[in-house]
Amino acid sequence: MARLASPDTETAAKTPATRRRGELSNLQFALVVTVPVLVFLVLVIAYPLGYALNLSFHDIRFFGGYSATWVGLENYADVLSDERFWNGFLLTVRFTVETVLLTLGIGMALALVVRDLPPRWRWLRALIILPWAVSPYGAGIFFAYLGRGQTGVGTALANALGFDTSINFITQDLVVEFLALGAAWNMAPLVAFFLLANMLTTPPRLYDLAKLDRMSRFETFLYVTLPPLRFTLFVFTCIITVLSIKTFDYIFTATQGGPGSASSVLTYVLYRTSFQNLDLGYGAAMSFYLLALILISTGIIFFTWGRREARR
Amino acid sequence: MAKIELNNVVKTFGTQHAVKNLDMTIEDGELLVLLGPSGCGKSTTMNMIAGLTDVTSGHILFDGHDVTTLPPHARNIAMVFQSSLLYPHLSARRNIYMSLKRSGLSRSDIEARIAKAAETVNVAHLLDKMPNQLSGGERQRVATAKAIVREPDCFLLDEPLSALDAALRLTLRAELVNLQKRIETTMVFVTHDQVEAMTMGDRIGVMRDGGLEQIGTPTEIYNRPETLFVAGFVGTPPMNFLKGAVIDEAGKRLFVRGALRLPLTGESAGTPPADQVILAVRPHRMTLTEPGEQALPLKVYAIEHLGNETIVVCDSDDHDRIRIVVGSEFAASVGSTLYAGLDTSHALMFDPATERPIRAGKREVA
Repeated sequence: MARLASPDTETAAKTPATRRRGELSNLQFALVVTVPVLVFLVLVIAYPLGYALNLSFHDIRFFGGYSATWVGLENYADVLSDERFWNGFLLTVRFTVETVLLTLGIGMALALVVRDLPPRWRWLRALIILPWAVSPYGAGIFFAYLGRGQTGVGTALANALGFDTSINFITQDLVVEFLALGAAWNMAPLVAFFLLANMLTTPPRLYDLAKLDRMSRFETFLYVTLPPLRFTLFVFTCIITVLSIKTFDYIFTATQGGPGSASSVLTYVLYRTSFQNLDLGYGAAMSFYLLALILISTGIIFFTWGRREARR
Repeated sequence: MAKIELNNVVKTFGTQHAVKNLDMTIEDGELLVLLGPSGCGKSTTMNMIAGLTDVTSGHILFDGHDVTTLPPHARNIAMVFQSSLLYPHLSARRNIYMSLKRSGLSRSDIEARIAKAAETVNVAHLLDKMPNQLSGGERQRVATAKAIVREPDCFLLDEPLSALDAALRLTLRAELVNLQKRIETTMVFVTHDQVEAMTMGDRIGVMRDGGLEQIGTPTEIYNRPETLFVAGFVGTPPMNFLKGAVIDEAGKRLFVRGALRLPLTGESAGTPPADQVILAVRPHRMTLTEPGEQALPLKVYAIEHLGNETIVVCDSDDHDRIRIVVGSEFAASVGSTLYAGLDTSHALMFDPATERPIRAGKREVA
């Protein structure tokens, strides 16, 4: 009975939808909404990417007239033995790891502070988003002045405490850490906002339960506050990893890759190669290593962490 | 096991009085239900007993010891929260274990206590499941196991059944009462559901606006409500209230309201004459009669069939809602007029000004 009935009801349900004149079928509707986007994506992503791939197999010369000579994988091989590349690669990894940890840490701390604000001070929650509103370009200039010995906070603090020394953060040893702190300052408010939104969904009674179970502050954080935040933390780890690896404008305005090449991260090396030395083919090959770095690192994060979170 | 005393307990949030001068004694081994509408201060009272909320003034005593300033874990209580709160990312076993983590017991003792508690509420087979894999009833049982594993002096339950469906609530209500009688531990149960209160409580404390209206056994609360609020809050369908006057006619007392003239009988016969009284009568004590001097004219508003009986909801001449319980075969159309008589020997008389019962024959002499 049920078998006989079901095809009947199905056609009955479909008939008015498909037969109504002037209405699009599901396929037609899908094409109408997706084709413009697909065309747009091909124009702005696939074409430039393909062009860059093509460039990377050529040796491009501008001097003595434009010439493009097919060199196969030679550019890719050369990159691997390029000391500047490996220096930039290690700096990028260092900058990225530090930025991710600092951003998540500061974001979490900010979220915890603004969550527990008394009602009269809740408006401060809106204010903490402000650093995020600063463009990376502006943040670069800002942190360049903050870090320098002549104008920076280090010197100002030392003077305020009565020491007659100048403290410079933009040095060979410290510049990457200082830049990572600046990047974290820029991005942490957004992380804090999302974490705060998540925290507010935890039933307040769970904290009472923790009190009855005599949990310490750390245990309460570990067992009550943290678990619902894990997925957000995972997502932001991915986002910040990608953003840090591809950071360019911030470092360009803050240090120009210096002092020396102490902050010449991969994107900066790429910029020098492609747009200052005009070695476009070689630069394109290097950019594909950057792309690989992004894909591999996010892949690792996903397979070691994301899949576990998704399963919960 | 503990006897809990609240002495003149006050809680204010800013300028708002959540609990006003509360005096209450919860006897050792008793199941006391705190009943009241939302916002009446019953949950705040429970939080103060638990130590989760500070007391503004007054004292809380457990077995004579002042615990007012002790933190929750030092009071040896266990609590089950609304919708049977558990740590969502820990298994049932770990959830129960968290109650004993700081107890200082050895690992094997803890294992044994968890096993025993799980056995008591029949959740041994669920211990390795996560809370989101448990049904509402199973969560409730695990939360109970988490509470009893501590072997506390007192259980505090904050509307643990309110999020469950009606059938499950019925089952778990009986389970909780049975459990409380088996382990003979003091239990305080907060609810806004008067049926839950009536069926579970050894005694019921009815609260309103931060104060205790009445405390007593379910029978006392039902038959001898001490305020108009208690009379109206406890019992389904709720009590009917009729405004009127009591006059004296040839030595007999009559309840007068418009054309209605009802001779008072039984206990209410001694009610002193008064211009304004409220006569309270249970819907079960009203009957449909013929029109006349002793019958109240009513307009049918709605009819609720319950199977074994029918509740007729009516509007009286001055728009009070009156409910009458009649036989299941009753039929009438909405808007039609009925006449109801009532048994005054089971009616209670309240003074509308004080909202307290008018004691028969007390002030008459003076």
